[in-house]
Amino acid sequence: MSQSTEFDLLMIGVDDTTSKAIQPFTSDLRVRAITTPAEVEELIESIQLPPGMLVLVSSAIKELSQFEIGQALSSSYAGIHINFVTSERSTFDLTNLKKNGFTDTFLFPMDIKRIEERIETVKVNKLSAFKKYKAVKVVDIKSNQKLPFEVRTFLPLNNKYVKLTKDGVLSDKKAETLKSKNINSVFIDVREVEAFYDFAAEQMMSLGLAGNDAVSETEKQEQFQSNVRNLFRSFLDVSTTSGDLEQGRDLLEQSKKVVESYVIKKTGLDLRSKFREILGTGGDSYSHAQSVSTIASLLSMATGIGKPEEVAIAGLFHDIGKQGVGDEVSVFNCADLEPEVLATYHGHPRLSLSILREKRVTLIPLIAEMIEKHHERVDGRGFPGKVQAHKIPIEAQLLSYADAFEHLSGPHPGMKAFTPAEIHAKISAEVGISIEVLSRIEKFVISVAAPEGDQGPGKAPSAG
Amino acid sequence: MFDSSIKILVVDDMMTMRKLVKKSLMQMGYSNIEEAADGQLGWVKLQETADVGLVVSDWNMPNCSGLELLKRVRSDNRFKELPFVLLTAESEVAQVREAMAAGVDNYVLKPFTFESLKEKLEQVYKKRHAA
Repeated sequence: MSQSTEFDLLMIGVDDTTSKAIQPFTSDLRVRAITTPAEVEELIESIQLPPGMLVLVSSAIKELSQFEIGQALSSSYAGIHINFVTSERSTFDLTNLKKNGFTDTFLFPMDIKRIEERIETVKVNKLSAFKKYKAVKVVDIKSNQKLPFEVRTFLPLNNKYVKLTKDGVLSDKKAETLKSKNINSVFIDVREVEAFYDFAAEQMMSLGLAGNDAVSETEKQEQFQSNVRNLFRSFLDVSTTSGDLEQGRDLLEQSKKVVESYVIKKTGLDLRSKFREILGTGGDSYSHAQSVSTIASLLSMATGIGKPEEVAIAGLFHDIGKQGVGDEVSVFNCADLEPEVLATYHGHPRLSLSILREKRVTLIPLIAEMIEKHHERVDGRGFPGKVQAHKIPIEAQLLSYADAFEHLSGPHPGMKAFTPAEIHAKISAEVGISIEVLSRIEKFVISVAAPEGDQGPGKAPSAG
Repeated sequence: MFDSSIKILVVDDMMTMRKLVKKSLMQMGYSNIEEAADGQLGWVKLQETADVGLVVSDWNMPNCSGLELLKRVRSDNRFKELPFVLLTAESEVAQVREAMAAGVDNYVLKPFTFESLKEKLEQVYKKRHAA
């Protein structure tokens, strides 16, 4: 059984000399020192290290080489920082250390300052962990329902977070309080936020299923649409609000994670891992792709065009062939590109499919068609195939809309943000989508602009 | 994927890596796992233990390397069809061709993740059970 960690810094096989040298930097931290093979074995078998954990390894455990420890740790734990530290030059084999999972190496005494700086980051991260609570939009949290997380509200006058649930259950009285005060945002512990995303995704799925006797079909539909609007609104909140940008980004991240969880539950496909496997990286490319994926999926939920999980997959992979052409390039600004770059841009839908085939990613034909035709136009002037309207599936047009929406809804330095109505008008005029698809989307997008009343507890303070 | 009751022999001179491979295999649902600390001990274990259905072996070991163990296995009629996977470090990838020629089913690059090990074992199973 895995144990949670109660230490901030892990030292394995670090000799006394090195320990003493770094002790001044670690005095504010909880340090776990491992000095025997049995303890290393226990670590690998039963202790869970969180991502971001700093591990210092030296060569003082005679029975275990530093290479063995590095291999074992890097194979067991994702995202931890495994650093080799030594004062013995003979053990400082940089090439082999990197090959065996070490992320950095320190040789005493010349690297003492770097060690101090690295340990300092642990202290900074520890302080920021005190920001424990994350504002989330309430997604149909009912009373007397067992939740996989605790719910809190913030009392600004007392500067305190107050727990509303007991053992994950919200009482009728507390639920009534949330409703009567029109509180749509509550706070949950950041360690429970993944559970919230899963919960929200399950809620979305159950609202989409027939036969839930407790709730009428009409109520289910209304609740479902309300949830979709809330999630979609986060794409506008980041660019339009003059309030808390960080909170806006948090809500945006929340929407993406809920949809990601929804797709995993529906298809079993871990999109983020698949994307990384294909491109070997995440970063900015993933961010744009994830946004388009989320927008497309929410539009599908709202309008009934296509299946949300299928358009989500198409949205994630639609631009992986856009190599060398930045994410900021879109149908709205590509006219000024150099001919060679423009040719690459025009080729990216088919190149995306080629890459997916090369990586043996199996797609159903409709998803492949969405990716190939997401820049075709109903007037036949799109690319890459100048395909006529009747050959462009409405799902591909939905993806086209989502891609354009993502470009237009982002913050534009020096410019005011577009309203949803302006975004829709611009897409209608310039992107070449059919009136049938536009009219189905229009009602939803315009309705998102009218908030459903958020008397949330206000800006989250930085310490909990 | 292989049947969960399959007996798997894990061969590695590093204790931590044996533990890690065993832990990963158990997470995949396999519980019938034997261990050996080098190629020679692995060969002995193979002969003493009935019905080993899969070998996962490190490459670089004292006494008898993973490649040598593979060659012994493939030259013995009792074990020539035994699925065999090698764990290789990056510097040994060039030698993978030699292992392929000797009849290895697949290789896993170290440091490995649970997902990569699982995927490689699935590939072996599919190849063995194709057609």
